[in-house]
Amino acid sequence: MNRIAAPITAALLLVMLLLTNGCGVSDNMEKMNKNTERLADQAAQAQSQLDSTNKHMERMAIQIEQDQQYIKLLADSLSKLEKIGTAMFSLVSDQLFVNTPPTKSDDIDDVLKGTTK
Amino acid sequence: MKFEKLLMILSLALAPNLAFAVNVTVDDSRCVDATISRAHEFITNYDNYSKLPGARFEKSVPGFGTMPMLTMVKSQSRFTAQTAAQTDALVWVVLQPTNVTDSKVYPRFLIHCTSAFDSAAHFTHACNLANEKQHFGLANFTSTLQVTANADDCAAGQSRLIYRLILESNAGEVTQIKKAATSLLGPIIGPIVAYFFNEETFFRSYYVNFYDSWAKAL
Repeated sequence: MNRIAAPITAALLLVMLLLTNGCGVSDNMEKMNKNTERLADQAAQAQSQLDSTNKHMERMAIQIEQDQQYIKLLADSLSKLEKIGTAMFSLVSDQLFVNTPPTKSDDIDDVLKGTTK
Repeated sequence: MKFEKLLMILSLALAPNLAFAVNVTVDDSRCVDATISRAHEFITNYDNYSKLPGARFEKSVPGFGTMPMLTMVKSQSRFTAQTAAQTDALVWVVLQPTNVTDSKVYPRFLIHCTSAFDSAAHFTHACNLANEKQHFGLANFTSTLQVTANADDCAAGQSRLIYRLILESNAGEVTQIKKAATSLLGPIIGPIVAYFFNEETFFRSYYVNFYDSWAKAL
């Protein structure tokens, strides 16, 4: 009796063990699948944000270039205005402040001869 | 029209200021790269004053340019003593304001200048207005220059210059000078230019600029 029961018991135990481990593997696989899916979703969201950021950066680069051109235009205009202003000042100054040669004034000997102011 | 009225009001507002005499004191102390003998020779070379760059004073207008204001057209001297140790001279100075051709209103003055070494390393140069002789624009001119060789607070080989100038304008005569300088410019520009020809500019700026130019030319 013992000779027959022992192998049967062992076989039963083996079947039970196999059945138990098989369920555990299946659960783990399911969890891994879910994790993978979640990671894929997060990666897709990150990619989407990156694309959006890239587009924003491109728009900013275009804006900066436009601003630089505008600043250059302003600088050119200011430079032209300054040149015009300087030329006008020079023109007016030359007419107003004529460097006329001095007319004859007393020399020191004339002054020394005089006694009053 | 309103602008012209405003300028007329401005000129009337400025006019009373012309009637006050101005007292100006200029103090300067500096080290120069010159020997004491060079400084003495240079300060007593009165005939050369009108040839120095500072003889012509221009007022700068930032961003635009400069406006000529006053030019020293004459600096003549007559020495009664002239040695390496001391000098005694009368110096005649004539300044021409820009635009003014009437020499009767040129600022001009005769000053009595002396210099004397009290040691090999120090001399004093002093000038005072010769009041009894012809002068116009100034009521007082007193200058003192102390020159010390190898002063402790200067670098080796340099000389220390300590300068003081006291001026007093003759208000009535300065008004005449300004009137002559601006009358040809009309009722709009004249008052504006008159503003720049105030006593402060006329005296302090001119002589500060002249002394600075002289010291730098040493």
